[in-house]
Amino acid sequence: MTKNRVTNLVSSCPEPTPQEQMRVERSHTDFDPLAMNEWLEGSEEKSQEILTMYQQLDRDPILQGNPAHYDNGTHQDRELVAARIHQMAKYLETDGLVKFWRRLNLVTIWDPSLGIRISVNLALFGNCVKGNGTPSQVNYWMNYKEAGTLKQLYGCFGMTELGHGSNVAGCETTATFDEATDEFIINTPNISATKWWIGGAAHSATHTVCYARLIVKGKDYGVKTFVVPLRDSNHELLPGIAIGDIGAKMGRSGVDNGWIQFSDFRIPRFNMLQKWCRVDRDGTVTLPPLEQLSYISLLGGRVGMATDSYRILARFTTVALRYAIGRRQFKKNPKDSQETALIDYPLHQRRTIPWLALTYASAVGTNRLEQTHARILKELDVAVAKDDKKLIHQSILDTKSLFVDSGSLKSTLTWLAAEGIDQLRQTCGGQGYSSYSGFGKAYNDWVVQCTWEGDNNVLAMSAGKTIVNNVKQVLKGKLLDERMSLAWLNDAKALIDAKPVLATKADALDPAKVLKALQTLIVKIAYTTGLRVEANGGDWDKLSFPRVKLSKLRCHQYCLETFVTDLPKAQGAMKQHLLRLAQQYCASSILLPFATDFVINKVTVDEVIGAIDGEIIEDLDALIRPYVIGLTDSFQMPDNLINSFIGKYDGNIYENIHNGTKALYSPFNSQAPYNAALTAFLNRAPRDERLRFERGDYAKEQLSK
Amino acid sequence: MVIAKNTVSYEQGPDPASLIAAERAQQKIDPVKMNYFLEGSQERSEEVARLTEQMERDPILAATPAYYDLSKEQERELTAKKIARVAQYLETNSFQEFQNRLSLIGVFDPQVGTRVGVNLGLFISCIRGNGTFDQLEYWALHKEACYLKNIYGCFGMTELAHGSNVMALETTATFDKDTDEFVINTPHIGATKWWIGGAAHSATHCTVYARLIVDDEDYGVKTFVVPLRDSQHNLNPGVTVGDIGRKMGRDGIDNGWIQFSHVRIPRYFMLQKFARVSRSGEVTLPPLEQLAYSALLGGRVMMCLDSYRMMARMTTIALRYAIGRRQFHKNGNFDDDEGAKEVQIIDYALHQKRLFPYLAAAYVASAGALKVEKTIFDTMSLLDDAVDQADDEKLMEGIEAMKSLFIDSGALKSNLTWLAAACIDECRQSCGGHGYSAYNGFGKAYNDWVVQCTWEGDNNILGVFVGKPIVKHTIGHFEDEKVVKGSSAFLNDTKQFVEDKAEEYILKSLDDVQDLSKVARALEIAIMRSSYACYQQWKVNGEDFDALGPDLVQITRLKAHHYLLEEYVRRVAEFEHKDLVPYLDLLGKYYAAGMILQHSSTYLLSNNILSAKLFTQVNVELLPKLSKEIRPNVVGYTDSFQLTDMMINSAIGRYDGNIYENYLGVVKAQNNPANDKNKDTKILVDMLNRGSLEARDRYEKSFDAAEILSADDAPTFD
Repeated sequence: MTKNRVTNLVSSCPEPTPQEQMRVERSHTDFDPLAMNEWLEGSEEKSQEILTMYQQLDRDPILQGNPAHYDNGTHQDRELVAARIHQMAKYLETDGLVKFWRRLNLVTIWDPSLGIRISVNLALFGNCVKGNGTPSQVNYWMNYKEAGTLKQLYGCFGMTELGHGSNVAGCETTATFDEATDEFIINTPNISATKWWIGGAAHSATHTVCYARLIVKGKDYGVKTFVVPLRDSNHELLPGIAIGDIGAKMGRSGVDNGWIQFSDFRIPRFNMLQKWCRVDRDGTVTLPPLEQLSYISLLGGRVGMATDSYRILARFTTVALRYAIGRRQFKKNPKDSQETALIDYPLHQRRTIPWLALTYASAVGTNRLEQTHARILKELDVAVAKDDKKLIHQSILDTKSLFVDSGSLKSTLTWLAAEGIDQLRQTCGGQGYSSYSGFGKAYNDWVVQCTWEGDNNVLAMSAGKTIVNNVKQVLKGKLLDERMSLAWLNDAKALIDAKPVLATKADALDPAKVLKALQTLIVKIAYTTGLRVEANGGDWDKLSFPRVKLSKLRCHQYCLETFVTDLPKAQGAMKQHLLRLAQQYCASSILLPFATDFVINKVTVDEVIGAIDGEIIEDLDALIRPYVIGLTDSFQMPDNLINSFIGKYDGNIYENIHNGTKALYSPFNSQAPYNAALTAFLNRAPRDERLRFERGDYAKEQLSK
Repeated sequence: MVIAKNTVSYEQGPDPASLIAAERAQQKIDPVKMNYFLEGSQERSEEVARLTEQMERDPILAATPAYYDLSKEQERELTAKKIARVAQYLETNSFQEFQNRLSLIGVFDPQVGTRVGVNLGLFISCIRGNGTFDQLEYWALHKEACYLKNIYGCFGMTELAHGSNVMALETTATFDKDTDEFVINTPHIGATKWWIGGAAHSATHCTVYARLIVDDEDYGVKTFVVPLRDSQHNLNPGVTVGDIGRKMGRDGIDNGWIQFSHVRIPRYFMLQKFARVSRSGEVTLPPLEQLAYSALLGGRVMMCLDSYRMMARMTTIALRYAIGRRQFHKNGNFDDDEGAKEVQIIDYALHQKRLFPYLAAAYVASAGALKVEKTIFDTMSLLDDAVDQADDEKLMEGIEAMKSLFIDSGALKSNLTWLAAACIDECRQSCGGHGYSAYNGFGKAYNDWVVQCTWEGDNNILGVFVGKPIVKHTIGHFEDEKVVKGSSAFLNDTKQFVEDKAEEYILKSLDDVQDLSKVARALEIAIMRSSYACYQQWKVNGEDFDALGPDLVQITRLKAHHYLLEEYVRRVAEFEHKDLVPYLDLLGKYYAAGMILQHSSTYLLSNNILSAKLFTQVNVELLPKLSKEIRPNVVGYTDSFQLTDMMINSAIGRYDGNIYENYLGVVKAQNNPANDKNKDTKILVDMLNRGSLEARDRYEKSFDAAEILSADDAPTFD
């Protein structure tokens, strides 16, 4: 018989010791996770900045993640987020905007509602004012009125309407110029023009930037932007403004999305944002020469969402792989003393490790996108300030590239992250379904990223169309400017005629060759799609499916290109691991999912695909397997931010789950608050009695007489 | 122009309701008759309609938009009230009627279904599967558990450290010969019963899966009825129970954890149809250990039907919305036709390619789910008869039938629940931002749904479990020339399609792809070739089945598609309303070309089931052609599911298609705009109106402070 064993708990036989396993696994790490973190983040400086912030946020009593918050109802979430906004506002006053932006990206990992509620003011409201307002207007609203530091004003972004989402040009709200009073009349003409989904409108915002059709003297000049006050300084709604909460959502209950109806609401003419488009006192309208530059203000959000994808994947690969180390299930061999750790099953490796590889690829890809975006913004400011035509032209080219790249990365990576959260949740079996593992809330909060600020399908179609058009243009002999990030398409002719790029298994293991294969595939699909458009009389809608596919391929090509470029920066043992991750990324995220296309387009041959599915992915899994803890530790995410009972650093999964759950739900309360409702039906009287014996023998006898 | 109708508008607003009405008027499909196909018979379809009507009018059971705003505590309480209500129906419904009722409740409130199912499906099925007839009579009838009366059972299988591997559970049931009792004990934290539905607050009893230990010998996992709470609903001594708290979904279920600390139960609380312990401690073991898990089969079968109903509900919402919603002008040509309306999103090729596969899947799933439901009914009856008549031959026949059922239900449960999860998500995304609103139903449906991929047989584990015997058959066939029987008998043809025949394409033309019998045969050949490839790997990898895991899951997927397609073809052929057959054929073809071929394209291409060229033709020619044929009947196809607005419970998915007014109406009813200030308003106003940083720093960093604090006027000490 077994003896009682007292450790921190009483057990009558040996309990599982997942934390021991974690220690052993961690000791295999043959590289410095801090050095790896620098590689992932792109530089020592950026890595240091992030680690410093992690430490501050991990300790901040208001901002740190807390398992109790998984139990919050909508109102508690709203209140918590409001308190956190206040706390973040204080960091904002001293961080400065660039640094604060990084901080906001990081809190978004565990509190995306907080991230978006602040972004709505700073990024959407603020960038709309910056993109469309004159410098003086920007200065007035953002600095003088202090919206830029979350003070006095709180802005929201009045773009989408109940009947109009992706098609901004179809917005129906009107801004009619009244020459007599020198005012615009903002109006919601019918139900479908109700501003809908407006983050912050329900309770927070004092102002909105309203997208409305400019109507002057009966003429419709299309959609322009106006700053419209919603509430006074006592936070009371202004007359003519009707606002409501849009209520429960799939996720992000901490965000007070609202609807707004304007009923002949008057604003002064100077509340129109007029960097590009102006209306004079007498109603003369000047239309913008370079309005497309105003869209650059939307790109920041997309770039941020691409980076979010990397960080959310980092969080959940960490959770899933830590759990896979500690959790044992079935014995591989009946003679084994313990069950086998999940991570040692090839199927489990195949379900987890490819996501780790993708996370690494997305780290470098999104870092590059982020750096490029920052550079373009800076250069554009200089160009506009100097009013230098050549520099402005260059900035337009850069912006065009960024449009395609950010659209393609945002859509592809947010989709992959959604799938990743879900797949990784499933690898944790039932425990993944517990709120305290973090997956459920993360998924529900996440998936709106696939829809907002450019629906993924709409963005991908647009990116795909540009690629098709660019290839067509190149084949007609008009090369792309070398500045453009798609300038490699200038080799289109050669790529179309190329022999299968991946002819052998060894080729599939060479990331540089896979990159070439990917370029070839993109060009070939773009070319045939272009031909099909010509053949069908220019009906692009019929070819949206290949356009979406092209956008996905472009995202992978961008990330892989960066991976290949950044690989040599790694030192020592890291280099070998990174090469394997790059190979795994190629095999499992690129070659296999698009295998049909690679084969059909003769970029590779059946045998290579067979080898990938049959050998390569599994062989690489086995090589990466011993280092999964080191490779996830390299993300350097603190426990409070991961906020998952099964994903903690110490790997002591069972005690963390059990003690954590007990702390939240004391077993002392063993009866439900509604216990009476349960016992009432369990202990109910027999049916005959409840029917007053009216169907009994006596009744039958009496009533039948 | 100001238009006053139910609301005032300056302009004519969109009129989505008339769009759907116009389409409905042109339908060629009779949705009532089509429903006979989907529900299996006219009789059953009519019963479903009666049950639906009853529940729609029931003040407690009917779902409403308010459901989407409930907190966990509110959901728990509401669910308890609904259970009490269901208990009243239970007393008068027949078994099949009640079964159908639960299946329908699963569409609009799955947690009620589960909470009742834990008692009726799991607890009682466990007793039925493992207990003697008299034990079943005692617990289910005499103690009235089957009427949700007196006692409420839960199902104590899973432990904190053990989910799928039931054989490795660690709770012990040690026989104490002196007192003729079993001692139930949780030896350590890992053996804590975890996820037990109903344990936290509802259950009075639990069927506990525990290792039978007699005279220090471990006889493996057996089942025991263990009381948890007394008739005052207070916990018994030695029993510790807690709530496991918030989950991704299904918060209305009180999942709990249980620890037993040397809890004693009489020997006769052990369920002993197959395994028995005598007074003196002699142990009799069952002929097939798996019989103990038959309790889970009913749940798996039910989940297939759930998958059909969920896909029906989701595609109805998404397709109705797609008809009423307009977005962009054709090919973005805004200026071409000024005044023209935006395009209905259903008319975009991409939108069709996103949704039609799931519409087809819902139809195909209904046929497969009904078949597997009938099979389990027949099999359980066979087993019951065998035990009643003590007929060993019949028992072995029943066990064989149950083994097949394990395979078929495993393949179907895993693939249909995955398909339904993907369906919910794709349908949500196809409704753009409005899909993310809780009032349109997708979010809660998804969160409640996805646990179906995990519980009662994790989908990947089932995938491996089903794929393995197929590969073993192939190995047996080639190594020992064994002949395969049963539903995998086609494997006997393997030699005709592998080795030097492995290059031969099976589907050779678009006509072949549209011939569903040929596609079904092609799937068999795909399984043969994949299984044969696994056999080749197995020979060189040291006979390691675990290494074949990813392929086994894929084989199981093909097997599920095969089962579904075959049954669909059979059912369509025998359907009496011949005028509807062409519409059913069309969806069958779309399922083959738009779902199966896409879903497993890499696998089918690399096994030379079809050529890359043909696959391109499928995408470029066939699917657009089929889509075009499906498009005009979308309303008819979805109306045929006969889901009422209550069941659908989605503001944008209602029958009348008046999406905007319905949606704004629900939002206003649930969130009265008169209450414009929230609890958090004060926090925000305090933040916005806070003093300047300098003031809050008490001017301690000011120029004055600097001057004072930097003054070099320290006293000097001589």
